[in-house]
Amino acid sequence: MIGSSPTLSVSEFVAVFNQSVDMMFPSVGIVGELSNYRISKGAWVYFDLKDDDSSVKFFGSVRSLPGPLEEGMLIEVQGRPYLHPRFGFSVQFSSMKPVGEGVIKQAKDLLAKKLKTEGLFDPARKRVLTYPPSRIALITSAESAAYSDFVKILNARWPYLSVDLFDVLVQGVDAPGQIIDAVIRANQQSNYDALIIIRGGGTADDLVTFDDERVVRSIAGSRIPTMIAIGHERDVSLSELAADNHASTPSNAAELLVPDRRSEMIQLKSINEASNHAVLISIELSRQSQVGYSQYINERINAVLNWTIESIETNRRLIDALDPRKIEAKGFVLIRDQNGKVLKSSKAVRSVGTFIVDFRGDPIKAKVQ
Amino acid sequence: MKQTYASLRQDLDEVVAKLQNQDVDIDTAIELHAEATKIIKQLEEYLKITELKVKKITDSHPKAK
Repeated sequence: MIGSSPTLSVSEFVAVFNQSVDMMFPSVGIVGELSNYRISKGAWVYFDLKDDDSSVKFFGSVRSLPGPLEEGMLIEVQGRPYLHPRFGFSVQFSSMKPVGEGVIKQAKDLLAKKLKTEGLFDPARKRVLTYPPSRIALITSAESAAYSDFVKILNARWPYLSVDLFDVLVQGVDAPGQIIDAVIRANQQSNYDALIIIRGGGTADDLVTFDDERVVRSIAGSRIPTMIAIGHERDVSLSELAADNHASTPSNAAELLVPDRRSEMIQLKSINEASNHAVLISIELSRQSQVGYSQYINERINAVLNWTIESIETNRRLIDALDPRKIEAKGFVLIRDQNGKVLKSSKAVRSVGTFIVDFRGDPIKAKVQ
Repeated sequence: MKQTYASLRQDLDEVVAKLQNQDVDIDTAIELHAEATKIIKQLEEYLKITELKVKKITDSHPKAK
């Protein structure tokens, strides 16, 4: 032993060092400029955070990345310092996020470009929500104003649906994991008409969860149609772009999701009146159709009767004209022989010699000279 | 299983559209009208005053400090 310092083997030193650091910094947050950023085998991420005077190495899983990153970005990393027996000192990171409005926007733009290329924001992917829904999964913080506003409006407009509340953090390092977990659990059930995620307004840093690549992908991958409402912000979050529907605020989401029951009752009354009117029109048309037909029948019958009467009259006149008594009244007479047989020709008259001229029952005997 | 409001409402729209078709005969019109009236009664039953049902799904997530 040299001086009063303990002498340890290398392995002992590593163990003591890690125990000491664990006690002092079981988890630490470090902000710095991203440098030497690389991904190995699609699974592991290595980078340095640096400032003007120092540089620290980091490594971790790609699953903990919030999205694509670029050299020079200002990043805040949560992690555990560790002296590896062989690879030296580094911080094992568990989460990270861009810092500063400019950097946050830069990260968002990078991710937006990547996801747009993959088609996650494609309008053709958007699904229409059942209107009105019967049962919804609501993912939000139960203690938030967004939640109480949303529920208040639902209760006033349409209290007929069932709401299953998945109470989660909506900002902070743990928020992405909780939201993703809630989306997965909601999708494991088969009876939701819609999955709604809401939160109120906040700073860019507060809202960064909804631009996290993992959160955006979980929403895009939801089997249940989704509606997202992140309130009061200027820019639309990537989660809202990936969702089937989005609303400007949680209150607006409630208004879009369900009808107003008073308006619906008025509409039902109007439909009832329209239905009554339609059947009355149908009855009236049918009645008119029958009246028209009856008229037609009557007209036809009258026409036939008139024709028949006219026909009879014509025949009567004809018969009348052919009445022998009428012919005799005009001066024509019947010539008969002694036996009363009518003689129809002069030859017949000459053959009998003596004949009778019948003047309508007043006969005169005559002789051929 | 009880039909949802959305499903009943869609049925009603279809029945009324058929009823308003001028080619429908009187017997069919009367049947369609009866069907529409029945559906409207079911929908009005749905719209009776009630309270929103919210069920919190149990979770073990720690809340923010």
